Amino acid sequence: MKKQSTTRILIITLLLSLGLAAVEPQLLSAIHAARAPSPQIPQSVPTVVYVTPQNQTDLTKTAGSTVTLAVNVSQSPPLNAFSVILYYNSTVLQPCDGTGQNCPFVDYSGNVLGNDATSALFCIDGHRQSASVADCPGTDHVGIISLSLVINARVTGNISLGTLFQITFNVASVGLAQFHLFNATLETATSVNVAPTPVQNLKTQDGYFTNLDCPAASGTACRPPTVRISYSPNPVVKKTPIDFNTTITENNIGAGPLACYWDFGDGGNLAQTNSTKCFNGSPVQHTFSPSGTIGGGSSGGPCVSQGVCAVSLTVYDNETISWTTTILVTILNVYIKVAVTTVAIDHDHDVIPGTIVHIRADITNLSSFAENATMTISLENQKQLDSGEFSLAGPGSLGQTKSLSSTWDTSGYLPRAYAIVMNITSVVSAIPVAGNFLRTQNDTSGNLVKSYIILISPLITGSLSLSLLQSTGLGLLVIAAIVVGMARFARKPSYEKEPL
Amino acid sequence: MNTILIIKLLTIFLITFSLASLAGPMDGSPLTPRVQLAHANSQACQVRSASGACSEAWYPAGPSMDTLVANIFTDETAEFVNLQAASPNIDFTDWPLPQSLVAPLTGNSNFLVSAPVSSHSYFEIEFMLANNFWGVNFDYGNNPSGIQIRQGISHLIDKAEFVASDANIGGTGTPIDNPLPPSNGGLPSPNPCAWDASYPESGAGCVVGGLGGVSYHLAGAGGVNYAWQPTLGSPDFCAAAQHFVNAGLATGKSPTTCVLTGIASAVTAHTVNFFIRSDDPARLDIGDSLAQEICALFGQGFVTGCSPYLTTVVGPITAFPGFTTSRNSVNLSWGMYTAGFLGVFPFDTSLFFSYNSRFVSGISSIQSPTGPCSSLSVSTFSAANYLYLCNSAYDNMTGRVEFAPCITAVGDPSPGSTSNGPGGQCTGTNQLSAVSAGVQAENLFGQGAYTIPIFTTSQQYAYLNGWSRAVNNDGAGVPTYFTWLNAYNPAPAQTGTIRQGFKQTTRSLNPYIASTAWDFYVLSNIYDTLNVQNPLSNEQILDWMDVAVQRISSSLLGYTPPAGTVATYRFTLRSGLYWQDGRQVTPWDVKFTMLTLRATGAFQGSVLEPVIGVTVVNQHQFDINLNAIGPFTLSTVTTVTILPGRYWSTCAGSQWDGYVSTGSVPDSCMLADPNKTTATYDPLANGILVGSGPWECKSGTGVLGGGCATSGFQNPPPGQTYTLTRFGKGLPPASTTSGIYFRSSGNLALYIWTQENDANPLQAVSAVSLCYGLALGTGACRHWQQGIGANTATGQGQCSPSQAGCVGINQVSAVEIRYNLNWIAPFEWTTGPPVGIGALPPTLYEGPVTFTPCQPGGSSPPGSTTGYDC
Repeated sequence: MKKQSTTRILIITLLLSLGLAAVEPQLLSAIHAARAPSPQIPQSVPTVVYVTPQNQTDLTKTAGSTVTLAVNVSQSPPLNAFSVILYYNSTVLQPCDGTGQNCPFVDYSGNVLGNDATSALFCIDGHRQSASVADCPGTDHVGIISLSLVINARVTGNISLGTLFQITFNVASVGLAQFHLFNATLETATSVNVAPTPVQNLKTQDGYFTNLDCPAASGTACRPPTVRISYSPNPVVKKTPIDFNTTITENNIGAGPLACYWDFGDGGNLAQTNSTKCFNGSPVQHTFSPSGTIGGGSSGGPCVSQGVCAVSLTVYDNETISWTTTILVTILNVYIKVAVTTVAIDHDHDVIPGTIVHIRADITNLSSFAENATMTISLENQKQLDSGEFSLAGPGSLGQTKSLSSTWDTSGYLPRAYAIVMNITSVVSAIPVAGNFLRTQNDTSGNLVKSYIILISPLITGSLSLSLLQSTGLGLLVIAAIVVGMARFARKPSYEKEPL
Repeated sequence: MNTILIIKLLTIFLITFSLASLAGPMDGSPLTPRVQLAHANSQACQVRSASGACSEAWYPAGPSMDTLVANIFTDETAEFVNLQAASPNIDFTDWPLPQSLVAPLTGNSNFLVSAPVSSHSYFEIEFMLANNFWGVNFDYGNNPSGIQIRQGISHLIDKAEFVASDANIGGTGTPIDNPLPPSNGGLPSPNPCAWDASYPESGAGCVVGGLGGVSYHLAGAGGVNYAWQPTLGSPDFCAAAQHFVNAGLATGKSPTTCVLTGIASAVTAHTVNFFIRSDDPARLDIGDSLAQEICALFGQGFVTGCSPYLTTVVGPITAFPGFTTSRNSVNLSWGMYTAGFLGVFPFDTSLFFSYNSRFVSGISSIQSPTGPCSSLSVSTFSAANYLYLCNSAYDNMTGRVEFAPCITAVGDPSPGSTSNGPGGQCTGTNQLSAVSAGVQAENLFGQGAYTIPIFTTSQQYAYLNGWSRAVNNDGAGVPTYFTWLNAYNPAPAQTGTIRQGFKQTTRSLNPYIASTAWDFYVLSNIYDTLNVQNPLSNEQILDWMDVAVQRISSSLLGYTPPAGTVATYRFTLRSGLYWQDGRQVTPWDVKFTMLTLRATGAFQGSVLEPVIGVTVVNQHQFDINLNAIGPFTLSTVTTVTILPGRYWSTCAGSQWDGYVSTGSVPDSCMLADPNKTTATYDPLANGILVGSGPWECKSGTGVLGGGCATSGFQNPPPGQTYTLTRFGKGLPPASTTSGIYFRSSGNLALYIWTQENDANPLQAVSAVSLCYGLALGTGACRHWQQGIGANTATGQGQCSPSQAGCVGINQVSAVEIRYNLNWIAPFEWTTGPPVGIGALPPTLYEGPVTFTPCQPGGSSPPGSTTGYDC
């Protein structure tokens, strides 16, 4: 694409310099669009589910004290239901006892849905609460609170700020306890007559409580580290290695990392006890494999099949602080992209009509597996110059890229810019995938590629082509003229001698 | 049935069929009528399995029919004759078609024939490795002279010639050199050409991943009575003789014929007995030919049996004495045996679970440090390693297969290379991958010639036309759990009934004793397993009795795991999971099952070897604590039949129920009643054959747990039957949770109607709640007001009280109860389906009821089974 853009600019520059006006309007539009500022896309205000207070620091709160937090929502459209999964530190804060009693107190009275909201799911530390209709998910365990509330036959109004629920914990020990909103889902509908949909532009914001000071005995409350996760390549395709990179910033004096723990959501996990691996920027590699396969991600649930995996990184440091960051990674089941990757034209500007132009286009399969496709080379999508059907091997194999060559006899064409169009169609998987031949692409950006050939007006035949004799004569004349001129230049100006 | 369970837990003993009575036009003679392809009646090719074989799609629900009758025959020959009778009394057979019948039945419109599948079975010659062979004590496989003898015998059959020329194989066989089928989940065969140090092979076949039939083979057999027999004086016959000389059985051999000379006196003092299976013609040929070769070596000519050198016993599987092991001695009642195994997938199934010495019947005199066998072995009546291979090097390597950190790694022996090692290590470890360790284990096995692997085959099955949804299991063919679950015929010969042929009867229906395929054909229909294998891709494992499995770190367990725990899996049982007697299946039942099957050394319990404990978390969850873990562990420990503690525990009946009601069953109850784990205990006769599976053992008068055999006892003789009844027969679909199989078609239909899922479980809850009490036909509520889940009673809210279909508490609850439920976890039916599953929404059958999907734009009255998902 970059090469194409450069080519376009060069061509336009050339056209402008030549003063030719026969530029394809569509091309000019493209140029205009490239120069114009991008239109502003209206950005709706995100809905935020957040923990408040965001941080509670109280070094005097010891075991037996209580800590209360609220999970709030702001800037939400009308709601009919919500679901929140909150992780907390069950070492610092007291979980349920072994029989499921004496659990943290979760209060959803006064929630934004109203007092008639009922709990489809309500679990604390994996223990189903009496108000819950459903059993606890198998993924729940100690340190997890799951709450899903719903109201019958109505939706709320817009919510600028409201509370989803409150939790009161008993403090169990000294430390820093993160309140990690692992997952939040809000269902919105404009009325009861419309099927609900999840709120799309939703963000979450964690909070924490600490009664720990950093460094020890400093009297300064500890703060969590700042953790960012990125990954490549993007998009992520299952069964393809992905590199995860981390940026971790400690916010406490003297704090240093000890270990990292990755949970990739598909059953795969990785504990890094060597801190250098965790913090020096070396990527962690993971391949998302569908669960349910012997030797594969056999115990992580179906996130790969669902297409979104929650990847969590928990960082442990030498101040006993652990902090979990979760990102959602979209996983493509298969990646299908067949693109025109190279276009070579032996004459693309200053082409005199009558010239035979040779065109070669490369078609490359960037998909997860072998594909069949058709590529057509045409003149401005009107006259087909050539076409070919290709069986393209999967990535990493010979035959992943193939070429189609064509010629264009420019005889009889008027001078102007002509678009040579490379078009890929009929992309079909070469083998059945889950029993079907797939006829789709994740990315069609390289399917249609244009290059331009500029025909110019021919000059008069022979006008600048002189024979040796003519050239010699012309040269003599030029020399003579120069000599005469110099002689006249060397003479005294006439006005100096002439009487007035 | 659960080929699944059959799989790991059973390395099932095969029997074979005799073609002797299939004479005349069916014997494969040139007179066999040619079949016009246009008339072929092959099973519909709706989907393809992982191996590419055609099948009909499978569905994770059923049974479709009301009754399953197993008719027992004397052998497969009688079964095939019955199938072709004018009025057969079976619909399905349980044995692969002989080649001579494939074409005739394919060309007969009365039958359907399944596509060939590469079976997960193999056949081999076994040695009782604790026995004395001609004066040489094999010493559990460790005596070098014993190795010489076994290597010598290995030269006495040309495997490639056997599969090519034995009429019973009919060209469908493949020679093998290793004790597992080539279709095994990814383990290549090693280069076998240096196994025989005295007579190494050479040539193109001496590579990793090469074809079988290369090992212990120097030249093509000239043929004697059978084409695959090496002739007197041939290179292989002479190599065999020299190995016998090396073992000290003789002082020399004839320079021309290589017949042994100077035979030691001890030879005749220790006659070897060879048990040759009579119920498998191919194996009968192998046994006879091999016996003749051995007799010829001893100068007795090519005769089948030559006492005092070699005696032969020809008999069916039920007569073979080796399967029943002793709990206080070693069963030495046999010497050689023509063995066969089914369901060998993946490759650890045989390499580890059949031949590792952890799975002999452990008695102190043979266990380490006193003896060569593993101290982890348990005394049992039904040991998987009944040939008593106890070799420390092999044990070590197969342990590394089973508990490798990964299956494959860079550096694994690759097909085409000549080297079997050193192999690849799993990333970040110094441990071999399962494949690298597996190749080395195969190599050790081949060097020791502990058995003589011979061949494997592809399989095709026949059944009566008119049946649909017969699942052509990947590696096992049609007679499997999912066929019995899904098979449907709107007009069967016997109303509402699948009539399945059993070529032989069962050996035991006692879950602590059962070992044969037929035992588990019955048991796996009555008892369910935690997980199941995808029938069309055995590598894929589905949660079945559980909704989720999660590996959980020790810090999150909430308790201190048993000492030695290296990994813990937390299972969450499906809600609505009931025993056929109406009691709920609890985590204590799972705990009881696993601990007792392991402790008693049950045949199917061998897969539980790494289970160090089972911890009940709450009424729905339990943890399996493991002292070792590998890539196969999760898929193997979840294949045992889950048993009800109240019927098998020492705390039986009301005592067990009482503990369950208090929320705690003590460890003292986690013991199986010793009277019920004996080899002869009959659970059918004693009326405790109660499971949670799709089929019930129920008498004609409705008494549960027994009476499902015409004899009134287990193992009914030929001519009699087992009759199993659909769990829930007689009840309206999805009308109760405790009285109907939890994976019934009606329950699946209702689940589909609820639109619940584990990707966004809140969506359906929200949608149905919005419609609560709204007028019929309102906006997006139409779905919730019709179909199988719709209200059939009076309306609520804005609805007219007389109107059915109004969304009320029942509809909301139906959705909420299934919150987050994924019927086929950990797969996704639409975005990541398991191989070969039927498309959503399927037509489903439950006895007389048919559940038809909604037509585009269609509607359905409340409670209707027409357009159930409207």
